[in-house]
Amino acid sequence: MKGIKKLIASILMVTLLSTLFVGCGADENSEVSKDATTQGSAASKDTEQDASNQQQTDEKENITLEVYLSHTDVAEVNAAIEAFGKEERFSHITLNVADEMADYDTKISVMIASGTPIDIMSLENPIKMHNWASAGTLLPIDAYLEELSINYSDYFGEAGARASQVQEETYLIPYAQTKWLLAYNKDLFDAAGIAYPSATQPMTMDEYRALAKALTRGEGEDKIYGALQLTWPQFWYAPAILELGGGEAFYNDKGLSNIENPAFAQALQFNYDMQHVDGSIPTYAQAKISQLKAISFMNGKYGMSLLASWALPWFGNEEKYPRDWKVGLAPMPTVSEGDARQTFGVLGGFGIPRSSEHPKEATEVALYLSEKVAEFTKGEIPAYQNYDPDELVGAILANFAEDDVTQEHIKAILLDPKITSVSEKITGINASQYETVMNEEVEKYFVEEQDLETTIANIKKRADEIILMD
Amino acid sequence: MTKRRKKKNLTAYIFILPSFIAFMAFMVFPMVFSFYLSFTDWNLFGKIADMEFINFDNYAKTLTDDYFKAAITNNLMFTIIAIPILIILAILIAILLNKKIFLRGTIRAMIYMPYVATITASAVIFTVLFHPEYGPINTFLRSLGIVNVPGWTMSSKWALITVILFWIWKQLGYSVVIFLSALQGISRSYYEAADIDGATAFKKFRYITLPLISPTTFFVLITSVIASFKVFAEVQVMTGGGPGTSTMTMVYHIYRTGFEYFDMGYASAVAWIFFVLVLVVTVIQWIGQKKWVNYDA
Repeated sequence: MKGIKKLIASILMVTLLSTLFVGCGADENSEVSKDATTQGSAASKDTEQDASNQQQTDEKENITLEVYLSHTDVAEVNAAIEAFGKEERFSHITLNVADEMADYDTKISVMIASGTPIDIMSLENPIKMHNWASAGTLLPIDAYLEELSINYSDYFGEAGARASQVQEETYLIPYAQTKWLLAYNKDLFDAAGIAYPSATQPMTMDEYRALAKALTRGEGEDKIYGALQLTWPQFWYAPAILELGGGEAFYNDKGLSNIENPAFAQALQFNYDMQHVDGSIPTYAQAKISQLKAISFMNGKYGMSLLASWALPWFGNEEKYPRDWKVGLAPMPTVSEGDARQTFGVLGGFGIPRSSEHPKEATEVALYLSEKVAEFTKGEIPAYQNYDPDELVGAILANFAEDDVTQEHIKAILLDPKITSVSEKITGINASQYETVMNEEVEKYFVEEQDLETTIANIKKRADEIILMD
Repeated sequence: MTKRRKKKNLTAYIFILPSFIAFMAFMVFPMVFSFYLSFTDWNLFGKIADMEFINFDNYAKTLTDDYFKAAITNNLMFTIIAIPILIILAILIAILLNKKIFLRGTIRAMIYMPYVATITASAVIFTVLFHPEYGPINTFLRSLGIVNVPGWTMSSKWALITVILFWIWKQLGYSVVIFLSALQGISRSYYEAADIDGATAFKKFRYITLPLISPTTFFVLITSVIASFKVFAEVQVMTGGGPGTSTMTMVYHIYRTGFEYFDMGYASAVAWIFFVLVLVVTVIQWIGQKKWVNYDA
């Protein structure tokens, strides 16, 4: 009996000790194979391509690039990755595209900090780019661009090249540029007996407000709102940045907060009145509690919505976003009658993290993907300059087969060279924290806890403290 | 020590070795490292070798940080309001559930259900229930003739209260179960003797029940206070720390500073101040227990 007890105790001890060492080790192989099985067809085609070109590419080392994207359902990017798999000059490179992660920003930062090799990541907007570049998460790619003899302005234009920089170092490889426009529900306009907005001539903000009021009807949960309102700050400061020339206008010429400029107060008041006086847009409280998103426009309960161009493919996706109403498109409203045509937007794309093991190859591949996104566009406006505008218009139009949207409409709204596009986000020092304090104070104003004057004063005080922290 | 004894000890140590290694690796080392980080300017991504030692700058920064002041105030208010309500409610419900009532078992299960439900799903539903315009709570209040109904999560005055209400609802089941087991451990002879002496129900509760469950009350007090200081998921889902900073809590502030602004040095300093605060509160409770906790029964 004692001998059996000893034997059992010894077996348990050995099991415990062995699980200790097995548990501590990371099973990289299974992670790679798990990622490999969840890749798109590009990876398996890459493998076949590698095998067939093995002799010819023996002098080039076979490498694998780890790609972590914030969204893995962007049709253009997936098409670009598939094209990559067929490209002979990249036959020695395999792309490992990881599954989409929830809470992408937090997870990717922890992965990079822990040294997980990540070669290509997403940079969705300038604030994130500035944040990550300032924290040292990203690699500046100027040296690799020089090695590859790439002239960034040729690829993305002067403005695009500048917008990809932080303190004159390049961090972003953009593949898409957003432009905001106005979408409207034609059925609700018909029901209200209101003529559709012009697709070629923008309305003013005051006309937008009047239209929203005229379209609003009903009460309670069945209420039809004249326009969709989200908690995103650009929904209130749009008139201000259009008037002042973009997100740089959040800073004055001394580099401090410019929130005291009357344009911001007017924009806040304008939005507040639409919420609480006209009742034509959901209040901030409703938008926050109901967790309204841009996609909420697809439920057919909003007469209009300011919308970014990345949303245009939704209208053609009947499977995911079925709708029984027709949509129309109109240009971004202007602040006043006779103003020059304007819109706002950002560049989104790829970045190369510090933990990349092949930064030069990652840069080259990201640039290739950016080119291919332009070639395979399904509605995203490419950042890469050398694309065929007619093909882009055709791709966008394909989403509006039943909606009587024409080529002329698309060109007038998105591609007219007379339209100036200004930066959508706060662009400057400590932009992320500036935006946070601004959102906190604006929230209190929109839920009627403090007046406009106090809101502006508080934003000015707190934003200046944050800017001076740097 | 005999050879046999040494062998037994060795076997025991080997059995606890994995847990000990895990404890050292995932508890002790991070604590020590974070204390070291609190004196540096490390931003999560820089090399450890490159981080600069900045003395007590991070600790000094807390004196002027509005978010830190708001978080500490909110946490203290949260604890002062939530804990007494939680304990009183839990004791009363436990006493009721200790009696033979119809569907007692089902009611006990229902009381415990919120504790096992996921915080995120529960918080979302709670937020909808307390919708200032369309939620059933305010609809009911309006039907009673109340015109100025609370804004709940959309009001600086009521947002923290709303989070407290949710937290109490979630924690109640666990506390009730603990008190229930304590009540069931009280010998009936005490109550019978009190009945013979003509004691009222209140006097039996005051002089028999309360003293005899005081060790359990102390346990629930300690664990609930610590849990109330750790509020994070509720705030993140329901209010995001707002409106303004009215529901900013210490853990939320630490998370945002460390993982959104990447200022790990400062986040570590705040975490250590928070640790000291919770430790002081717990020590005060430990010292205070000598006056009212009765272990003699």
